[in-house]
Amino acid sequence: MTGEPLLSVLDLVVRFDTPQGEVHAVNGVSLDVGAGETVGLVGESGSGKSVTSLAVMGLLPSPAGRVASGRILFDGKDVIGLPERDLRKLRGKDISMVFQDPMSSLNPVITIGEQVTEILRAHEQIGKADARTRAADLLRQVGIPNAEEQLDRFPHQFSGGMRQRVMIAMALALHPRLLIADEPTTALDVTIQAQVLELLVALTRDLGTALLLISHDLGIMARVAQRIAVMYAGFVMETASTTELFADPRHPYTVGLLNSVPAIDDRGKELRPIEGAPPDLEDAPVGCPFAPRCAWRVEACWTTMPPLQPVAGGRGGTGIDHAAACHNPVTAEEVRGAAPLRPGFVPAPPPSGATAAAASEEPL
Amino acid sequence: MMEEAAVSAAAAPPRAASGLRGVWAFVRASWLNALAVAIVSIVVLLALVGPLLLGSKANTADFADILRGPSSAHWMGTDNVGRDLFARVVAGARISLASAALIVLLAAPFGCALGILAGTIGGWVDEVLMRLTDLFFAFPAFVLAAAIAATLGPSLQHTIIAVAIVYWPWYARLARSQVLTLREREFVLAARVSGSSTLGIVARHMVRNVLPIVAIQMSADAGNAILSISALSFLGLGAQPPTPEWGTMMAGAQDYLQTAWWFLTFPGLTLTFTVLGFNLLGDGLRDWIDPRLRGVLRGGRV
Amino acid sequence: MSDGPLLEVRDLRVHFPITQGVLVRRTTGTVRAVDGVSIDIDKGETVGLVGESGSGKTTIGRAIVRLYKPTEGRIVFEGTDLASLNGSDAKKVTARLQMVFQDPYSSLDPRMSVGKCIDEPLKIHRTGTKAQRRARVEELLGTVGLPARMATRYPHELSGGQRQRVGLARALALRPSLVVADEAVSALDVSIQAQIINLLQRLQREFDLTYLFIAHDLAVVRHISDRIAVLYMGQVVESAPTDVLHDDPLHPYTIALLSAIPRPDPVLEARRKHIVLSGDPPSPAAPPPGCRFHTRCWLRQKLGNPERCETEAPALGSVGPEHAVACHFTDEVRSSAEREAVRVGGPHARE
Repeated sequence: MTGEPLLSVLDLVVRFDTPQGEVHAVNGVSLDVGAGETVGLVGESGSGKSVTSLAVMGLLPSPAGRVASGRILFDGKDVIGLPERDLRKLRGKDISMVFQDPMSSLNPVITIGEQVTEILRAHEQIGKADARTRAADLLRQVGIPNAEEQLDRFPHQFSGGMRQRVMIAMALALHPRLLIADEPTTALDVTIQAQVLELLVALTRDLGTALLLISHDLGIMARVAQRIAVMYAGFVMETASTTELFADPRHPYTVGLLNSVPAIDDRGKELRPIEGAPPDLEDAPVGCPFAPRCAWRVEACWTTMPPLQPVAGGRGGTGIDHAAACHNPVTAEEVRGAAPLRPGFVPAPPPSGATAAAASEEPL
Repeated sequence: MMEEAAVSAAAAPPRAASGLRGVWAFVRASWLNALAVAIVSIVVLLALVGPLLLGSKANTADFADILRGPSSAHWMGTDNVGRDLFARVVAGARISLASAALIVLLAAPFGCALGILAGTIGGWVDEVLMRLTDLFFAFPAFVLAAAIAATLGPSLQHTIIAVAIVYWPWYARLARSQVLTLREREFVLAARVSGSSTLGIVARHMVRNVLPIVAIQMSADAGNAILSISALSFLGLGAQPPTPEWGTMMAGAQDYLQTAWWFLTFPGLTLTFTVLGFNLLGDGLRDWIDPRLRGVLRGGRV
Repeated sequence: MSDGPLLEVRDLRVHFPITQGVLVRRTTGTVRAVDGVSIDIDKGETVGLVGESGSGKTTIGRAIVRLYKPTEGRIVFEGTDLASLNGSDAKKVTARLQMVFQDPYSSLDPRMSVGKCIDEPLKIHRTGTKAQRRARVEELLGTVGLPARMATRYPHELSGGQRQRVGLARALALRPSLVVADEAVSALDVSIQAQIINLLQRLQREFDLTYLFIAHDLAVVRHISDRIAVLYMGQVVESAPTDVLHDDPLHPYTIALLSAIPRPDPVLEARRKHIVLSGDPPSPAAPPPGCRFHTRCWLRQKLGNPERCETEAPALGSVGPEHAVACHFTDEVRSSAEREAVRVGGPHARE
């Protein structure tokens, strides 16, 4: 990657204060997105991926949600702690976001045209008529037929796929440098999903916009992302170029995740799911949060969270570092299976009896 | 989904834990909750224990001691026939709480039953009920209660009935809307697939899911019921003298405001604090169970 | 036991009226959610029902378990026409037809303990004494891989995967022969999904269950099903054994579906051509004339928009053993490059 990354998240820690206690949503995430790059952030629920994106936009629900530590550098400047006024200038113009549910992101009582022109006129000095023309152009760009007429319609008159296109149009209206898309297609039908993904990829490519795509769907990542970061329980567990992540995963969680997805040629064979369940985010993480479910765990895993470090033998050919946060990464031969192939290897038991009880209590 | 839960957990407390632990957690959650519990506990205690301890002092006239101010002998002073005001106020607490309890226990089950019926059966039964409740809502609640009480004849019992009549449509609407939401929930569908009759679904699922929100409304209504009773009594439509009801006492104390401020003030203050306590309790419970209900339940109204 | 299929659905139609008006309800239209579907399910097999929203797949599942009444058509279960049953007979028969629901967060009564929840079907059918029922509840919990002490917990204390297991236990309580799994794993995380899929397969072997597996995720359906029926706008457009469907898909919609689903294989994804359907699905209240798919069909566009698609609805015709397709231009599909790109056995498949 040449030059400074456009977005640099450094050791981000996000906490939520709730009546039940503190929720440790993000526990030290570091992530880079270069200009024009498409980076995928993949993880299941509770991984902290959405919270990370909200933090980048300065949209954490406050006062409950707060950045406890870390930095978020956009174009070299720290975004955390910026006054709302400055954040507003950034949003829409430099960083933009598309959410999962377009219906709740669009104002139901204002026409689409008004919403799009509002964005344009909030950041640029253009007249109403010009804004309207630009808005129609934008709608055409995202493939909405009869753009001029559609400007005067309301969100509920559009289908889900159309609304998401409108959201994308609005997000890209001012040619932002970075677009964050949080599960943009999850709520859509498969065939519509394909349309919207293609649109997203084409537009960001044409405009040179960097795309941070957040999803739980590995398939989407395979299709769209150039680089992927895998998150679990508020940590980044592994990052690599897309091809390398799928071909040569090193973190046991990534391996487990890939083995959980039904594959074409595995029909009839039992899936190899990861036993157990994600940890409770109300507990402060001790050691690696994946340890209770990990077949590769060693003693150190229970006590210290390993840092994200480059993997041995990672093919740096693409110029992208392959890094994993693991004390005992998976070897190339073990990737196919769900367990280490080393003779005599037993996953290290938890350090104290109490933790063992917790780990085995509900392995589901 | 834990992530969304984390984001929304900031706004949504957990379901109340059961028993004493729950009460303690509730109290700890906010100083307003603590205040509410304190006030209500005091009032309930006074209502239960007070008349036992103070006995007949509430009704013992002593013409030698008319309109004496607060002193060590008479904490709240005496009224216009020399009765100890504190004793009367305490007796009034019992009357107010009992009346409120009766009102709520009359209005809620009746209203909920109709609401559940309308929501479950639908069709014209539902339409009829909706129009009926609309009719009740068209009148200002207090005016309607006053009219009913006046028609029935001034007495505490009649005011209780009148207020209960004004309150039931709220419960009907509340229960009905809950039922409509619940009807399409998957666990209700699952019950049907398991072979449950409609009655079975109502008994096994609807009632227990409607109960929490109704319970909250009931606790919020308790305070308003007390206020309603006192207001109607103040107007002469409720408890008649010499019954030591707060509103009745205040009506009788109007003439003496200049000369014996305590006569009007103490019952009034006690009424205020009691209603405040119950309202805070109602709000606190509502927020405790589900703050998204804010604005859905009826707040303070007479 | 009869030799015929366990479940026969014949020409099922489920229409919902659209009403307007407050005091006087007028019917202004009809949503034709299911519009002529016939499916056979044999004992012990798993039939997958695939489609997007508006396809009618959920409605079919619900009609089978009698949550909806069919507007037309027949559903015959174990030789008995379900419509002919009433009262206690209906209850006995339908006990053997159960359903697992999609949303683990609303498929369990939040105010009922897990044990009570599983006990409910037993109680409704008065199966045994209280003690016997309690034993059965514990047995069921064990079957789905949950510890017996879960019985006293409440749903909000359980994770999504655990709740789905409870839902399964509840469905199995009455020893059904057919279980309709309506998007039973769609709302779960990937790693939990895999656990539940394995569980479903294990239970099928252990209890000789028959599944109707309804989902929109073709990858999951493919993994678990013996046969698959692809639905579009209330009708079956293609049905075939699973391997055949992936090796020899013949309906343009099936091919588009296979193409649209992203596969976790970046090399494959980069290489293969993706078919992107144009436009939105039409409204189920106003299905297009002729072939319902014709407004979005890539093949029709490729062939220069032949009129036949618009005027004549293709019948579901047999093209091979147990393979049926509803399309006028099956031959053209066979020779198309688009089909080559999605065939599992084809050159673009992984490995």
